[in-house]
Amino acid sequence: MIFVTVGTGRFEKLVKEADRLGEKIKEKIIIQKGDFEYNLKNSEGFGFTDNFDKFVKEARIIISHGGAGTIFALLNKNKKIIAVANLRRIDEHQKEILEKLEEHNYLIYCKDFNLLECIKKAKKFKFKKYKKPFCKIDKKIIEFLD
Amino acid sequence: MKKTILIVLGGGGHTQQMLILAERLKEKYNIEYVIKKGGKKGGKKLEGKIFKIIDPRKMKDYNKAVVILKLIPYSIQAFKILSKSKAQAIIICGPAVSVPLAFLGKIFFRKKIIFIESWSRVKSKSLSGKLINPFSDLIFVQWKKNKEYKKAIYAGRLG
Repeated sequence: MIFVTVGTGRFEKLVKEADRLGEKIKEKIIIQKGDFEYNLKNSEGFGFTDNFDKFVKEARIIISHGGAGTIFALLNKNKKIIAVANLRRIDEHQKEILEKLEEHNYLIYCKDFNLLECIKKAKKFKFKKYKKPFCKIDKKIIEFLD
Repeated sequence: MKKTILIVLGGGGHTQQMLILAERLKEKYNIEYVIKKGGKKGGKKLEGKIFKIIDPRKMKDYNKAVVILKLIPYSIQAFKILSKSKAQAIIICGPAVSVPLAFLGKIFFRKKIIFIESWSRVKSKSLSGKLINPFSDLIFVQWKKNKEYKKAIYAGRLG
């Protein structure tokens, strides 16, 4: 199963392209559509779900919007990710983080919405395991406020 | 007695980062939260006092003029929250609409402002960062190579 997520926002193009992908492949596609009403023709889906983790767990590949929150959560679960930047957000910061993570082979950054091509690429792609970095932000805050 | 901090949950990934941080700070501090009215709380039950504030910028009908107009009731609510809050410091990581709250907190309530640049900023400065930079007391970047801030500290990443 391929799970597609657009997060809490609105990403119409990804929903439409992911639905279109259903015409071309046999694998089941489930789409979390977010804040966008759209009648899916070649896939299943919903706006939001409380069972997000369950879909993530069952998915072979996840096609995700480029929100860093979703991406880091998925990387920490060792999922294979194809990420698409939502450039209609306030600025293009999703592009920046995806380029960086692709540089390390943590995910496939799909730049042109050619999802089929990226699914094919994922077959051979060696996804690097993400190692959570150190974090002392809390300690520095405590030091500062003491 | 435990000190109190006020954490601003800005929605989506902003909320997610702040909740990871809150988890790491909850032993040490009483935590108060500001959330957007009608917004999600990141799926978790929050322990501590929760203040609600209107969201001047809904993604769907993004319009600068509307956002600016809505900043008036937003600021009034922010003022009320700040006068009730017992926090010594405000911790925020954006988005930009949460900056006026920090600004009012600094000017009128002498709160310390701690800004955490989003983990999505590898080498750039967010609008929140540009606005909050001049009056924040402590700034973190979450990527070592982000040199956009003169006084920022890199102390790892939340995700």
